Formats: sequence, C-alpha cells, structure tokens
Amino acid sequence: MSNEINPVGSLGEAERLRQAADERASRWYSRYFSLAGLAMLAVFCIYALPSPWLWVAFAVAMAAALILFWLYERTQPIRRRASQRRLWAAFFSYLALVAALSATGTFVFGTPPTWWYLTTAVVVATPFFLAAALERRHIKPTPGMP
Amino acid sequence: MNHPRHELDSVIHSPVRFSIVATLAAAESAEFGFIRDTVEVSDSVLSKQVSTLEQAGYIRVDKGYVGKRPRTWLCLTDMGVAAFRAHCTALRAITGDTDSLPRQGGT
Repeated sequence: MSNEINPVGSLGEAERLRQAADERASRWYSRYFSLAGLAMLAVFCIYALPSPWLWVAFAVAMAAALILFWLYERTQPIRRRASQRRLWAAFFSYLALVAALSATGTFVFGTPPTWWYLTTAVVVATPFFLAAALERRHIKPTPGMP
Repeated sequence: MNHPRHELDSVIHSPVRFSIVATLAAAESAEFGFIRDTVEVSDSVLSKQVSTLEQAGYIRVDKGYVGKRPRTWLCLTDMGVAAFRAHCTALRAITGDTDSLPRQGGT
C-alpha cells in the first residue's frame, strides 16, 4: 500500500467500509429486535395466567428478559450509535401500551378474558417488531437470494 | 499553503489507519476481530496501527470479557471523529466535490 494521495479511492473506500459496518449492524439489530419482540410478547402472556403473584411474575420475567438481552448485545462485534436509545424507546412504548391496554381491558371486561390478553400481547410487542422492520431497511438483498 | 492537501491528517492518511477510522466512524464501538476482518489485516498490523491511533487520541481501546473470552473494543473518540471528518473534507476539496461527506453510522 502506498502513501500517495488518492482522494477518490479513499472516499470510495470509506463509504464501502461504512456500508459494510452499517449492514452488519443492521442484520444483527433486526434479529435482536425481533427476538426482543417475541420475548416481550411471551412476557405479556403471563397476564393471562390465573396467578395471585401476577405483578411479581411479570416483573421477574421482564427483568430476566432485559438482562438476557443486555448480555446478548455484549456478545456482538459491532454496536451502533444510539442503539441503547432505540431499545429503551421500544421498551417504554411497550410499557405504555401495556398500561393503556390493561386499563382498557379492566374497564371494559372487569376481568379480561384470555383472548383479550393474547391479542393485546401482539399489539404491545409491536414497537420491537417496528424497530426490527426499520433495521431491515438498511440491509441490501444478497444477489441470487429471493 | 492554501492547497487542501495541507489539511490532510498525517495520522489518518495511512491507508490502513484510514480504513480503521472509516469503519469505526460507522459505529459506536466495534470489536477488534471485526475491524481486522473488515479491513483485511493481520492481528499484529492492526494492533500496531491501533496503538498509533490511540496515542494520537483518535480512538479509545476498552478491554473486557464476554464469558471467559477476552475481547477488545475499539471506539472513535470525539477528537477522532472531528479529525476524520476534516480529513474527508480535505479529500473532497481535492477532488472538487464538497457536496457529501461519508456519513456517520447510526441513522
């Protein structure tokens, strides 16, 4: 490699490397948010269980899921800027939806039926699936792949 | 001394160091192995160039563990980001194109 100035080549290389890093991160974060969405969907299903320790079970499952995802993120070779902000935005949207839909369910049904919980579980996990979809927009299709 | 080549950063100007900084500019931090594979250099070459960049204050090196495996994380400092952008601005000025700089990661 020479030290001669090749501005066009250098800028092209910088853009290629940026895209490679960005795409690698997007592939992982789309999977990460999809898994987080499924986990949060499963965590919410605890509401459908007839348990007197509902809130405790919900809180423990939530804490366990967050710790697991924090550890999972640490195994990754690349971290994107503001990745934690996105995760927390999805998480707080989830909590807001949980609170709003739980209150609505209690107001309408008194004791909401199981189908209500299961339907709500899908809705509250939407912020995570939305974040995963946004990440997938950065991924270019591999040539030859559908 | 008005020619934009005088604005080029001598630390970043090396092709390997430029590639390292360009890759790091797209992320908050990246693991040593990822940079090595992306830039296509050996461990020893990367280690040497990382030391130079670290001494210049352009990158920060964090060592830690994932399970029992040691990991080294590289992160561009604010000074490194500024130097990279100034370097790219100078390159664009040389080519006569000042419209777009390489974008930062984390859209």
